[in-house]
Amino acid sequence: MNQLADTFRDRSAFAPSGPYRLLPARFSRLDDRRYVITNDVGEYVVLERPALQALLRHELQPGTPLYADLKSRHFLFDGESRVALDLLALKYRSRADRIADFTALHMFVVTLRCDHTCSYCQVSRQMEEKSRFDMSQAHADRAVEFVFRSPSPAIKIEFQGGEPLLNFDLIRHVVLRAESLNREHGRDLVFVIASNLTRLNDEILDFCKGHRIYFSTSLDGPADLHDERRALPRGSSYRAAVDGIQRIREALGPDAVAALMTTSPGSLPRVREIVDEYVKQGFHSIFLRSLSPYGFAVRTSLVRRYDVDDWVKFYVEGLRHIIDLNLSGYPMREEFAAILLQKMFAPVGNGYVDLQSPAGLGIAGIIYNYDGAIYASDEGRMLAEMGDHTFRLGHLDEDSFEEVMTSDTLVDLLKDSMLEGLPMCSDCAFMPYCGSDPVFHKATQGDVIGHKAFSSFCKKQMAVLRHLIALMEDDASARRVLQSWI
Amino acid sequence: MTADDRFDTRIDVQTYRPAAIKKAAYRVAERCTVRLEPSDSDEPILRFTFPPRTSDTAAAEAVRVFYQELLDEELRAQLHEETDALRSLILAHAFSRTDLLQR
Ligand code: SF4
Repeated sequence: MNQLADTFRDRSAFAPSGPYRLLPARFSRLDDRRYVITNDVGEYVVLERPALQALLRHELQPGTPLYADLKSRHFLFDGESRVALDLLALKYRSRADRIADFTALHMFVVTLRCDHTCSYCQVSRQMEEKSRFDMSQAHADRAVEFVFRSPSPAIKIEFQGGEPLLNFDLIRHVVLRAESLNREHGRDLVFVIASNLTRLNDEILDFCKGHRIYFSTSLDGPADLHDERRALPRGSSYRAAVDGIQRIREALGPDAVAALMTTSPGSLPRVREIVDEYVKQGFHSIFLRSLSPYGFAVRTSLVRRYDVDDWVKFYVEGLRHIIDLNLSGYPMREEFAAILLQKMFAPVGNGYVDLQSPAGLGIAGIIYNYDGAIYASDEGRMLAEMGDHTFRLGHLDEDSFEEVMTSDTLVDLLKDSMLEGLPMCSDCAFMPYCGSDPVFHKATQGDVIGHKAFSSFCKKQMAVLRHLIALMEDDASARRVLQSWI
Repeated sequence: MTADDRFDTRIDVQTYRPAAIKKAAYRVAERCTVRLEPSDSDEPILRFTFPPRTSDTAAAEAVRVFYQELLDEELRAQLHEETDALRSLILAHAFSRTDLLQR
């Protein structure tokens, strides 16, 4: 019987014939002794190999705790399970539902100019005075029209650069234009300026009040670490960032600014100091990120100077320190772990753009470059700076929103980014918590799918997910902290 | 074992299905290349080729990991056989009442 005919058999054909019937699942090794088994809706159970074999051979005894656990988490069903299939279908649908409300994040590169000369900058900087690297008002207006063509009920417009505050007039224009259009559309509209804060002034802060504008800045750790890589020809980039953070909090409120850190080889032995710097600056959240293989980072060979194993060591030590801070009374969240934990435990998963299947390309976030070109993601734009235009979806002067969103370029990229059909991923227990990173694999392997046995993205995902699951299983106090982040 | 050495062994394709052998080979591709070669007997040859400068210990570990993966792949194949039609049913059910076309 072929698969289609199988699908349309009567439901009674799927009833358990023996004591129980298996439901679709994937398993992977957790460590030398244990396996983790997951299903399409993100439930998981950890079990030892003999138990896994017994489950698959239909030898588990009803009435045992493991049997009950596997049954309640939809890994098996028996004659007493009335709604297992319906429940699974419903849960699957809830997790997939966000795809229909596509493109919540719209990024505007309002200028490519920047006053910093950072060695790992992902954007190819241009000199400050070259105003031909600014986005035109006509392109900005057209991009705002695109924003309101996406069906997402929540819209975030993020201003990027270069240093976006070098073209604040255009930011002001876009905010006012978007707010005016939104009176008709009624979306939940917010703005974020991703800035190094050197150009922050009272005029900017005054405008931000009352327009739901938030800031995101870079803070790599203590002053010497931050300034080592973020070279500001006159002055200290660290000073500008921490002073700016204070001013924003005073003017716009304590939650109006978030900070992001980038890991460089110099960060690797200093993760505790980095976390402590975030505490010192009053943050309750940190995202321990790895270095991206784009832009100047690749040209300066930075990305090759440390291996994913070094980063995982850095991450594990940092997470331990953060958990200990929580246990000693300072609430602090590690954002990468929080995203993965939400994918494991929250009914609707997590919409983090970089960990989706299909990938978030175009459908979670889209980027309008300073010259009017449209890219499927920020990293896709960075790759274009290096001469690879795989992720260019069109141009604001030439294409309509519909043409961009239904273009072969985008549809083919999305098809190729569904983990459910990719070698290794399709059998991987971590798949429901993982995502596709076509830009990373194009940059590192020359192919959007990538061979996962050679992929440092895959290695990183597996290592972090194994670590988190082991903490949840083996360390009760860590589990309490991790659960509070969901 | 030295630099670019090979290691040959025979494999029982009654016990291990070729699809499982191929998937296990894919998983260990960073450590070694595994090829399934025909032989005069019923049991084809499994040929492991290691990258230059692979130590004896690393080569032995690569072969061990391959067999470990192979056992897992066999179990996965059993699971797939039993549940693939159910997965199609659940997905069909999940999307049977969507309003995607009306959006
Ligand atoms: S990328 Fe790696 S960890 Fe993620 S689903 Fe694929 S195989 Fe699993």
